[in-house]
Amino acid sequence: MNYVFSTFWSESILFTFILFATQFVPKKKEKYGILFKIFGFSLICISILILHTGANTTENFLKFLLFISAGMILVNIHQILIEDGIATQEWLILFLNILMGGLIAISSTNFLGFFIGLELQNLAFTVLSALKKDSEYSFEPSIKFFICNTLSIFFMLFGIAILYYALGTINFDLLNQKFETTSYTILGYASIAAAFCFKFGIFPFHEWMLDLYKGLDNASLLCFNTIFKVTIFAVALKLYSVIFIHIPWLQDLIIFLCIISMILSSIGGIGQSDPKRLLAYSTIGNGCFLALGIFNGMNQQNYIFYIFCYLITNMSTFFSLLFLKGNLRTGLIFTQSKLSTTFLISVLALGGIVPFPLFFAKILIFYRLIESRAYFSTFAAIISAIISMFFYLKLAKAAYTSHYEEEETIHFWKIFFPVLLAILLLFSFIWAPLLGAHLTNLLQ
Amino acid sequence: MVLTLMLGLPLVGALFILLLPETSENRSNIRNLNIMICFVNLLFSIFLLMNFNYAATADQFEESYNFLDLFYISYSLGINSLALFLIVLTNFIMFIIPFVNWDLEYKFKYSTICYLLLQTFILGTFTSLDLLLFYIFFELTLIPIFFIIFSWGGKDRVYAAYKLFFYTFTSSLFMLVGILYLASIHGLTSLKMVTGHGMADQFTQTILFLAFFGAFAIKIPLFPLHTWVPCAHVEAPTGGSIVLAALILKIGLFGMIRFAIPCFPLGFLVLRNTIIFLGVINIIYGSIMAMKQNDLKKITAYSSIAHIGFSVVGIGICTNESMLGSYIGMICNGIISASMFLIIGFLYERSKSRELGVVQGLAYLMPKYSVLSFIVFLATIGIPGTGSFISEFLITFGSFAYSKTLLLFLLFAMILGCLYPLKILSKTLWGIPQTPCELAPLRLHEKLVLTSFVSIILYVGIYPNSLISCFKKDVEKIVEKIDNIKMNNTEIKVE
Repeated sequence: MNYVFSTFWSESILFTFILFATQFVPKKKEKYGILFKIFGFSLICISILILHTGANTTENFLKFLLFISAGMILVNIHQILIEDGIATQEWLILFLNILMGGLIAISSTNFLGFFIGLELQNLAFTVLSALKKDSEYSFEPSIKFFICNTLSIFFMLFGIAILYYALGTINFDLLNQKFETTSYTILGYASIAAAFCFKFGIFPFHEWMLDLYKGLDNASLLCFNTIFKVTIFAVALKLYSVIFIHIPWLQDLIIFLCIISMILSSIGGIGQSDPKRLLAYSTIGNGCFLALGIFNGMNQQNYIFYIFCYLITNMSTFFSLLFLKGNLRTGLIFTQSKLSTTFLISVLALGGIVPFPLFFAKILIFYRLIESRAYFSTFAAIISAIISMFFYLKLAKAAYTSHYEEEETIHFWKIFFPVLLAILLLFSFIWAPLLGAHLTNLLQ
Repeated sequence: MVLTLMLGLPLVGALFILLLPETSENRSNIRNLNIMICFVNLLFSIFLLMNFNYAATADQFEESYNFLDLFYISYSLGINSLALFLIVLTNFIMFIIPFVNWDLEYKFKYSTICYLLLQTFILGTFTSLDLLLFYIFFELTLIPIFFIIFSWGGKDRVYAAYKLFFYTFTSSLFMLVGILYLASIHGLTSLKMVTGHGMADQFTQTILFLAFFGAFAIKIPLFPLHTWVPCAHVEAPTGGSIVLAALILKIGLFGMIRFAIPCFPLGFLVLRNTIIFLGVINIIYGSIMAMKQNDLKKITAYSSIAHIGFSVVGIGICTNESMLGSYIGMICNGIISASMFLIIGFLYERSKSRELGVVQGLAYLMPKYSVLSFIVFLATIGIPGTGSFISEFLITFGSFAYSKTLLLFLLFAMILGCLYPLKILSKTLWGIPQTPCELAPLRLHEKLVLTSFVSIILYVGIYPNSLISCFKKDVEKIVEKIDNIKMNNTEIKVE
């Protein structure tokens, strides 16, 4: 009983929040800012509660990550939404729905809950990404996202149905017990794997992600890159323990595809000049690197550690990009030195070079790859890391060349959050070992 | 604790300077603070020099904390005599840097921070006893030097900085994989554990040695992987060039002596002929390329490549004499190339040109400057009485035992090596000033810096025993280990 309660109380509170957001919003639009902040801080409080009172399970940590990132986004995003001309109330409700979908997907114990969570996220995100009504580009990615993700979800549903036909259950634990290799189960698992590849943006199914990144407005992009991504990473973990662990050839296939997409993403990024598309390639590369780790049997605490580091780095990158309005003009270092330095630090951190948290996470994954004697994967990961470092530096370069026009500077407190994140990134050698040790203690 | 203090001081200083506002009144405060920090660090290194037990071969001043265990890193520091002198060199050069950057105005504060960070990281590479910690410092050195070239460099600075970054980053990732492989075998990667445990088989050692050697070869730099060095030197500001030539490039050789050879002796024995071959090519290629150039900085860069070739050959030969020679060569090359960059920097500040032959007759125009640069260029040739002669002599002497052909090559290379300094001398110091121009004489701090460099070069050349007796034990230890392995593994082809 206790277990069920601890699993679901956070979702219940969130549901209440959504109800509140739909019913009791202030009439004056100026007061939305406070509402956003209240919601944000409450989400952060919930995340701390989850960490302290919940069971020490992987699910709870993932939920914690979702809540805390959502809270941080809500606290900081209001001004940007206003500037972008996006309807804030709708955005808030849809955003909370996306969070809800993620929570349901993470805490579900069977494929149906999984499906419901992901579908809820899909629908909410489809509308959220089309909210910027004055832009013709925002409609396009929204439709693209909808079609592609509905297709992938359809594959998943198809797989679930076949599994239910073949094994008589869709519960994860029972599926694990009853596993047998028949042509039906293989078909079911393979179609679920295809859906997973779609969601993850693994090689043959990665094109939609690039288009999505190009068209999306900044706020939706931030939402996609944090909440959505964490959900997908959580899904990967769960699917690995339910499906892929039983079917070695499927594992090998996905590892192979991951290697290809890592290298493709790094090569594809070279020719790009649009920062958003570059970041799309980077997301694919990072995600596939993580997938390599999990498919080579990396343990869960290291997996969560990677997700945490990735989340912080990504938030820092996207927040600074948000305040720069997605426009990397030359000479930013002169006009907005704090913000451009933050951006530089975050981009270098995305590349995973030394003092930044993703480096420590990278060590863990490389270690796992070497320990399981996956030398080819290691080699591919190195090559892609080197090539992708090139485009990360290219992103940074724009800000540091010397032609510039005078421009108003943003007030420091407005950009306090990305600066704080960048400082966190710089001093990761202090908190990374503590966090790692904490995770290891709790999840062993 | 003293090592951590020494490492931490510039880092804390950099953070403190970051908080200071960058105004024109503050500039002298920042500079004074920088000089003070570097001076305290210099005192630290003198303390180390005084308290070091030169009779022992074990690592000294050891300290170890295990807060990074989770990532297979142990924060363990310690030095042997080979590291000691490089630490002294680092602190000395870094003490000089504020004087070199005396007139810098563009973002002075950030430049100071970059150099202070660089000092911490370089000291870190020389003091770490853990392979992964070494890797971390090794890669960290890349970031400040990248920004130094990127922000304060010349016209093509972006290209040069990128090239530097990618060469080092690429090679070091392979080293990381090698280190993590060791971690997967031993659990941790401390130097004692890796060298103390039973050796892996020859094939594994060769692969691991290659992974390390690749990273170090780019830093040294060895022939096919050297192209980033001339670029970086030409574009870097004078301070950056000095640090690059005197310290960062020495990390490669230091890594070979300290980590690669003791950890993978079998791998080293398999590849030593290749190393010697590459070293000889370095000398000949570097000298020929230096002769062809017109840019003074490029000439210095190639001459540095040529000189470091001697040290590489010395390490490859691996006898007591040659190893001693290559270590002295390392330190002397650091100081000689630093002082050459300094000379060129001073000239460039006054004449705004680095082209050979634009300013002639410096002996008339700046006589005091000319005397000092004359000695430095003679040291580049390797005239007896300067430090580089000692190293070249010892290495050539060591090559007797190895092969007579190599000896011939080395002698030929030495002849090549004396051509380009003479060319510089004849086209800058000698000759008659073509246009009537007046060059300002050296200022006090410039004179002090250059004189101290020259006096060290002469001191090492005249009384090398004072240095050799200090690190003889550690060199002998490495050579003895290699000799023992050679005796036990007769199937390895030595000759």
